[in-house]
Amino acid sequence: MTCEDCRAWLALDEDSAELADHVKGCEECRRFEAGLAADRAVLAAMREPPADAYAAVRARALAEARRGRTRRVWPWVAAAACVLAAVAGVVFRAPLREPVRPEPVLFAVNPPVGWNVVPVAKRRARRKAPAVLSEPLRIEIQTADPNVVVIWLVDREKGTS
Amino acid sequence: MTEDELAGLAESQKTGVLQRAKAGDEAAFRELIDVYQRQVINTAWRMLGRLDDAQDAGQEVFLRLFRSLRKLTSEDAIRPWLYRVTVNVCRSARKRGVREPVAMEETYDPPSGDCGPEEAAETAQRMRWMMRALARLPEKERTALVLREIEGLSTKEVAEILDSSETTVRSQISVARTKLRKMASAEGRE
Ligand SMILES: [Zn+2]
Repeated sequence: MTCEDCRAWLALDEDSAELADHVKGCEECRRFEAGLAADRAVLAAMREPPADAYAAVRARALAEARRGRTRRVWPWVAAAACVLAAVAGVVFRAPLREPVRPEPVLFAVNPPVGWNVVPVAKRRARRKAPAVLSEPLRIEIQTADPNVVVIWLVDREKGTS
Repeated sequence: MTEDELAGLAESQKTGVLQRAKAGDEAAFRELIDVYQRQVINTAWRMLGRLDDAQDAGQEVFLRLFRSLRKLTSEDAIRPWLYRVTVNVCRSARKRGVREPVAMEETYDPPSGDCGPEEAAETAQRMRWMMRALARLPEKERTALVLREIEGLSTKEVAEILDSSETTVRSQISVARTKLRKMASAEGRE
């Protein structure tokens, strides 16, 4: 066994009679083995960061987590508000709309011979007079934070705020 | 794991700290940080070489833990998950250009055991040398060595955390040990 082989095995934590024999008879490899053991002892003692390293990390992580939680809630509040506004818009706009009338269905038939067919101008749909504007619809959405309330004002005519 | 950590872990398991943290209990999340902060900050410190960089990494790791609580199915999964995330966060920090590790000139109190002041100074000096030596190792070898020798994980655990094979990890560790020995010899230390 060469010294190089011996050290490679030692660094791999291998153990064999042949290895032990070589180490016994080779001062260099004995020193290498002792050095490995010393390194291991030093590394094993490096388990503790300074005691004052923790507080700042804990405080910052907790603060970030709190902020993260708020950030996670807000998109939902906003999305909910949008859905509510859309629903409110549909509900409050619908009665003001001109009712949809079915288009008259025309059958193309050949007029009897001798009839004089005169094209008729299309009738324009008449718009109803605008409804009297009432107070805008007010929607309040409570958030996780009691101090924050989302207020949504819906214009009843346009359905927007 | 130290006795304190084991005790802390046992305590937190008794009360279902993970479940409480998932339910949004901030005190439970704080308990989780208390139990795992040593492993996270120490691993990051040894990987990055600077304590302030390790603290930044630790903050990021715990924030990721907070965001991933739902994904963690059992409390046994937290420890390996945190090691894995710590390694990933440190690697990204390196890519972003976190400063090179330096000699551990920053404050370091050697563990005040039953040894005298001379012995304590000697230990601190050896640790400083080791931090410098670790910084000179390639990242993969350093990470494997930190997890195996400093954090005391088994080769199998290290392989799982690093998504690697046990054979690869054993080889990385033996190469790292041999390099440390060569550095020591070259500097006339044994
Ligand atoms: Zn030899």
